[in-house]
Amino acid sequence: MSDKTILLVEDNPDDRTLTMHAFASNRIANPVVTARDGVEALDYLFGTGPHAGRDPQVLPALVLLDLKLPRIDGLEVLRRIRAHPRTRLLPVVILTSSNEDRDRIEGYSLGANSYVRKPVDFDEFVRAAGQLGLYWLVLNTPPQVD
Amino acid sequence: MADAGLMAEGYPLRAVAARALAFWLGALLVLGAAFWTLDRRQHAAIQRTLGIQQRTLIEQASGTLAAALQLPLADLPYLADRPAVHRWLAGGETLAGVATDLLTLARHRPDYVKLRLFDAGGRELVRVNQTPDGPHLVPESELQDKAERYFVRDGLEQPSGTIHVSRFDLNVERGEIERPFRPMLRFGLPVRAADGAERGLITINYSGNALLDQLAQLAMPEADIGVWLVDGEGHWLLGERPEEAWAFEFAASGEAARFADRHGPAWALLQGAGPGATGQAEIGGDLFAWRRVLPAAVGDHWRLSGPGTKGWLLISRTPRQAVAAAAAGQHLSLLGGFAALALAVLPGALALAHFQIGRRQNLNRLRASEARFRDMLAAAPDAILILDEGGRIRLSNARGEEWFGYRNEELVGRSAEVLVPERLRERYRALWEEHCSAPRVRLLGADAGLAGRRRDGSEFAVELSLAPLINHEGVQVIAVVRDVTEKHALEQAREEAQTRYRQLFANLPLGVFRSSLSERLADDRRFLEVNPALVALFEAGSAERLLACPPVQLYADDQQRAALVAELFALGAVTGRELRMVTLSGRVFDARLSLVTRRDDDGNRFVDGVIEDISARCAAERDRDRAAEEVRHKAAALETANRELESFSYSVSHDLRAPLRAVDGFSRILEQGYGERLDDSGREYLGRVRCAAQHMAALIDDLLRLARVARSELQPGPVDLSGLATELAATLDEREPGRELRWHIEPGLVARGDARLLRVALDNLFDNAWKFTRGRQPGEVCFGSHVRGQAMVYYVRDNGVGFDMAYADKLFGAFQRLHDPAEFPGTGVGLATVQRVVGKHGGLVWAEAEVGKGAAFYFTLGMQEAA
Repeated sequence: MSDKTILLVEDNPDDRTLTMHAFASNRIANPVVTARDGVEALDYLFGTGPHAGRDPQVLPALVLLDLKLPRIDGLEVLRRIRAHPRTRLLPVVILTSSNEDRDRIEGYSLGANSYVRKPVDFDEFVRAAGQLGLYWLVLNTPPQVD
Repeated sequence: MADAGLMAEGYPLRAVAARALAFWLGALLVLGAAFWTLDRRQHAAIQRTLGIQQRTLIEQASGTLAAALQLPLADLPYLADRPAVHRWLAGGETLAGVATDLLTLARHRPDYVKLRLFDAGGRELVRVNQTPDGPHLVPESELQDKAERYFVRDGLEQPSGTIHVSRFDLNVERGEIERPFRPMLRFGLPVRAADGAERGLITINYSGNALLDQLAQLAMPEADIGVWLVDGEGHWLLGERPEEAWAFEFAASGEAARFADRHGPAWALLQGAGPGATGQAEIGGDLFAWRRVLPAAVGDHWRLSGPGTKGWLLISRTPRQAVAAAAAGQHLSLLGGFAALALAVLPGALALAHFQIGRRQNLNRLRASEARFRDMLAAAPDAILILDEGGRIRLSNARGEEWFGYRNEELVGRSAEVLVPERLRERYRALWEEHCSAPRVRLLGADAGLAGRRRDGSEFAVELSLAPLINHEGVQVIAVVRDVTEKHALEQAREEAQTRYRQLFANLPLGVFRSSLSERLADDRRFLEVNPALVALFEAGSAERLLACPPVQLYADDQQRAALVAELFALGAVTGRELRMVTLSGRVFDARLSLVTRRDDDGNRFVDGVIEDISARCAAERDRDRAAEEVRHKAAALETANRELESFSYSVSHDLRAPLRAVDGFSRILEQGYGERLDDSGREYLGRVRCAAQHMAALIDDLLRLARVARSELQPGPVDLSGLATELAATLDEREPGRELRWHIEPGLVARGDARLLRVALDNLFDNAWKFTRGRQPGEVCFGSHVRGQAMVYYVRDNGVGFDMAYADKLFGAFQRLHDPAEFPGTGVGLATVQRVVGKHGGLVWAEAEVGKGAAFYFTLGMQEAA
């Protein structure tokens, strides 16, 4: 399971650190690629911009996507992922502070595989991260995409 | 009357002409018969006249003939008795004396052409010839033997005293018939000596020419009356055709034309005529008169013999044509008379036909009129009765039978009183007597209060009209009865409707009017009718004043008025036009007009209209428009505020929590990774940092929830409160499984409200109850309801720590707390949220509590009603 890359799209460095810490606390050692905004995330996924030359056939096993992002926000990123044939089945988990029904409903309707609200209580956050890793990296069997 | 009638229907010219012709022809027939009879009589009279003429003619002719025959018959005995003859017979005497006697006689008798004495052997002894120079004694040498001649032989054979009369025939000289013809009669008397010895014969040849001329001259050629002479065998001697006379002398016996050949029927009649007989007859239209003339001997001792004794027939004839010619004038005058009379009766025939046809037409008309009358009676929508002078019913039509419930034969002969209700009979009798005393047409309308009585005794309102009917049966009365029950009802309904409409017109709070509509001059337009509301609207004081005011003066704006009138003329109606009008006292107001043009029966246009004062409404509308504008502004502002709030909430939810997460997260990392480097106080402080961060997160969440409640739209529907409560209780039980807490939830509570908001409210109340019953053994929470007044009150009651009612007013304020957060953590936003939810439903929330005993929260939902 350790070779499965996780793409973490998060603009808040505190949250990035905490997330990595939570992965570590759960012994999730998979490589984590971080993107600080939507543009970076899409460049990585489609091998464009700074990521030109990267083989876009190689996709992360899981995308953890914040909604409130600079430049291109998370919902737009999700829409583009789902719009592209290569990435339309990519597991995307929305990981956000927002507890708005509106966001939740839109996220799911755009094809998010899961919606996880980041709890303030760090212990809960660590628990949630562990459950996410266990599910998406270990238990889930992704479809084969050519 | 006949004339008037004839004219009225067009003159029946053909019928009258045909009838007149028939009459005229009949008259002509009668007249013709009369004239024919007259004509026949006239004809007979003419025939009689002609007959008399003919008879006279025959008398004359026969006299002439008889006289001519008598001369020789008298002369012969005279000659024979002469002394000279006696002496010659005695024998000694010469013949000279005889010759002298003959010569003497011949000189007196010019018609005696030959006088002769023959000896017994037929030889001439003396002969005297009549010559133009007088009698001539033929010399002895020229005397001839004539013994072979029939009259000599026959004469010599006669007995003594017998005169021989020959036939009337033509003279023959030397064996030839002498020409020109000399008709001749021969008489012969034999003379004898005293001893009886035969000695000779004396003859006279009598020439008939003079005689025949005499007879012929008797004829009357102007009247076409002829005189004919035929011998005993019917041979013509003097006849209608000269060439036939004496024809028998030349033809073989029986071949010569005879009288009988052409006049057979006459001959048959003449055969029967005896000697001397005369006769007359009309044969085949010809008139005949005749007489048979015989020679008669003079003296008693002379006898006649010979063919001449058969005698001759004198015949006169007037041919048919001559009779007709004589009657022709008569015919003409009669015909003229007939024609004149025929013409004279023609007008009479025309007049007769005219009157007869007229009378027949009158009769037909009368019959048709009677038939029409009967049909009319049958078809009339009214009951019609014919009453006689005594008021008895003579006839009822079908309607009468139907309405009164009698059959015609039951009614006939009965007094009409049976059809009158008893209470009205006195009046009826008075009415009847009045009518009889002065018969004229009377109409007693519905207002006379008359009624008819049916056979079953029921009544119905009637109109009655009485009219005298004068005919050959005397004076009768036609009573026409009309059932006016329906008419009554209709009139009443009409009056009521009129009253209603009048009241409506008068009471309408709208101004209603009718005005004339002159197309040329606006000033000519006048109000025709106005209702009180209109008078009040224009502050006219009285209807008269408003009626006197030209409508054109009531418009405040002439342009508006012109546009209105133009549209009205173009479309015929204008609806709901709002414009400015001015009252008679000069006040201008907003008015709303609806107008429609109509035409009356004479084609004049008029306008019906409604005017409403909408000043107040206009003002109100202006206010309303302003208010609406304000509302729009406020709504927009609210919208903006809501959007800002939403955006704010989102930011709060998202951005405020991130630092808190960092505070908590890093504190936790510190605690775990660097805890052994801190003393107990340091670790406690770290714990407080984390507590504060988490409390703040809870506060943020509660505040967001409160804000969501505040701005969310109510989406009402049925909400199963009991089910919701059970679900929430289960969730709370899971939160701390070891706690002993009893839930008492009233089943079947269903309220109408917003399910999501009610869940929030109930969740907060249950959460509080759960929180404040901590430590109770056992804790109890009741959720139920009861009815108070009209409202359904729900409650959540617990046996928890309760609170002091002195602070109850702070209970529902945000961030207000009545308990120690260390003992009972909380944000103080929950009840504020509950109050928002209940308030949104239009309900109330309140609490009752006692410290240490528990608390009860009550709420109503405004849209509910107690079941």
